[in-house]
Amino acid sequence: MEAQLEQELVAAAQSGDRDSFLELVHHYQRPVYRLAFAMTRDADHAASLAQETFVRAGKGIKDLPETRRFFPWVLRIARNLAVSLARKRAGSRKPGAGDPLLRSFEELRPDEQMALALRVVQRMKYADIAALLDTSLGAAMVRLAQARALLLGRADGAEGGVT
Amino acid sequence: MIHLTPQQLSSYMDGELNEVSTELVRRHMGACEECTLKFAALEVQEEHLSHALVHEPGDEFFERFAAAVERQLPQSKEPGSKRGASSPANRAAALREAARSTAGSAGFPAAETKVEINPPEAMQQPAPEQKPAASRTALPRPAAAELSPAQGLGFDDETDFDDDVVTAARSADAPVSARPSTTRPSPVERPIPSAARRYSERKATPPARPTQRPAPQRRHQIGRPAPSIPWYAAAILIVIAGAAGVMASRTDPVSAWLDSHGVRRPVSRRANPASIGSGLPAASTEQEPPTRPVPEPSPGEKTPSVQATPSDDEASPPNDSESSADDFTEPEPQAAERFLTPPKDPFADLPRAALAQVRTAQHSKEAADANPSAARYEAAAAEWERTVPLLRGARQQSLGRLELASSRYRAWENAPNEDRASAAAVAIRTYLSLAPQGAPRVVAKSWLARVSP
Repeated sequence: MEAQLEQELVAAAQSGDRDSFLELVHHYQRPVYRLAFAMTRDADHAASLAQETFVRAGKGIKDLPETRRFFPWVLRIARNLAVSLARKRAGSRKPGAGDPLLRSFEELRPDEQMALALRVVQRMKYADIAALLDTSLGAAMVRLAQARALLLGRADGAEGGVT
Repeated sequence: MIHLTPQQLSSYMDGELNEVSTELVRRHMGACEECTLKFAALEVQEEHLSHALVHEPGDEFFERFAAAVERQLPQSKEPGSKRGASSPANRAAALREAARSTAGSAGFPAAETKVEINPPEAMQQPAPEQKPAASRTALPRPAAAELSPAQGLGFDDETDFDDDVVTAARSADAPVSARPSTTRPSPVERPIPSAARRYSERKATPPARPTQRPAPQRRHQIGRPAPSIPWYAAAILIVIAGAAGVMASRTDPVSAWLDSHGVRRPVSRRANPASIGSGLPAASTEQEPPTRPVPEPSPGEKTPSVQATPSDDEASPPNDSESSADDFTEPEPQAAERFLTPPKDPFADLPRAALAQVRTAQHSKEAADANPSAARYEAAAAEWERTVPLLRGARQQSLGRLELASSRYRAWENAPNEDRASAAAVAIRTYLSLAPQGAPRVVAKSWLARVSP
């Protein structure tokens, strides 16, 4: 979406135009859902998380500063909700269940998970990932590499025995 | 030998290294078995993640999604614009007016400082139907149970939102359907199409983006005298002289060094991912002769270093003000040369006859990698089966078994059947029984999972 057009839709949504906000929802629902699924690995939780993300965005859009872009802001909300959800699920989950790689993925830091999800799921370029994570290009690159190396190391360590 | 860093491997896999760094990484991997296998393990992991982390709920889900969000939004209060106009009608009219005045220029506002984040193609939703937003909202709403309410997950306002805290009161959470009809005009009555409609219209006919900035004609308008012809001539001469100097001094010290040290020109691993495990010591057997004289890099001459930079020209450079300790650190200038040192041949200490058999097996596997087929890989596997008993020590045994397992696996991959799967599983298990921890082991496990799920 063009930046200018997005700004107009945001401005209209801020002044109470619900249709403008829903147009933003329509445009960004798929990437937000995909990110939500990558962060939760559960379709029901992802649907609820994506939905709650936009509900909170709708409620808070009046406070979105003019200098901030809508999409990174929404992804930030989704990321924070995913962290909150992960904390709640941590107590209820059976330890050791599921794919070892995904278990290792869950142990990554939220920003590492998000960087990896943006790259693996959304096939984003580093420059876009850096902008979305509000960091420098080099830091995004390091975060991605660290996440991958950690996953590789943990998977390697977890599979010590011969199957 | 200095191996590739995780950043280099990761950026190489994503195609985010610049041309020089990509070539250096390719050369290194052509000569370094360890990095090749680590890269292969990364690719396997990436493929696994790309399946495990992706879920596509289908178009029907997304058609209902916005309606489900809308039901949970609070009832809109008196509209008041934070960014200017006093009423939605005035604001929308002002928007239309502004759009008319800037028709055809779809670029960013001049004050835009953030990087443009257009979701890439893969994440763009298919173009929604060209319906005015008002008519979309008039669609029948799905039953309340169709999309579970987000509250079911127990999200609460304690969520650490950093600077994104949404503090809207939930007192106005009445469903949309409960609102009095006067709060929202019907689609027919709506006087102004709103920004949403203009968005739909613009999507139908996207204006062309300006590809070049307008010529800086301002300079002559601010009273600066126009440059005279001699000034132009002098500028052109300077440019030509500079270009000639660059061309004259254009040497590739790294290539020259590689040639002088007889480092083999590798086959790109990305071009032939099937060649996992084939980067064994063949480097020492097929060395290309140096193709050009070897100029010794002068002390002042800078060696191209492996540094990660965005591959597309549009990407903005990292913001210095945002640099942190986590930033990618550029390797020291000599690092590029040091990590290109060819590895020692692990089979070098074998007797002559055994070494000849190793070379035969390696050539056989390379031939299969170059022109993959089940028969060629089976021939390679047969050679490696003859070779393994001749190998000494755990490392040689491990490498030989890995090549055998790789050949069996590739034979199955090219033409799967039960016999090949069984042979591959046996070979892989045998390798795993003596394989040390590390990336090759991870790769082999992924092979085993495929041939005997």
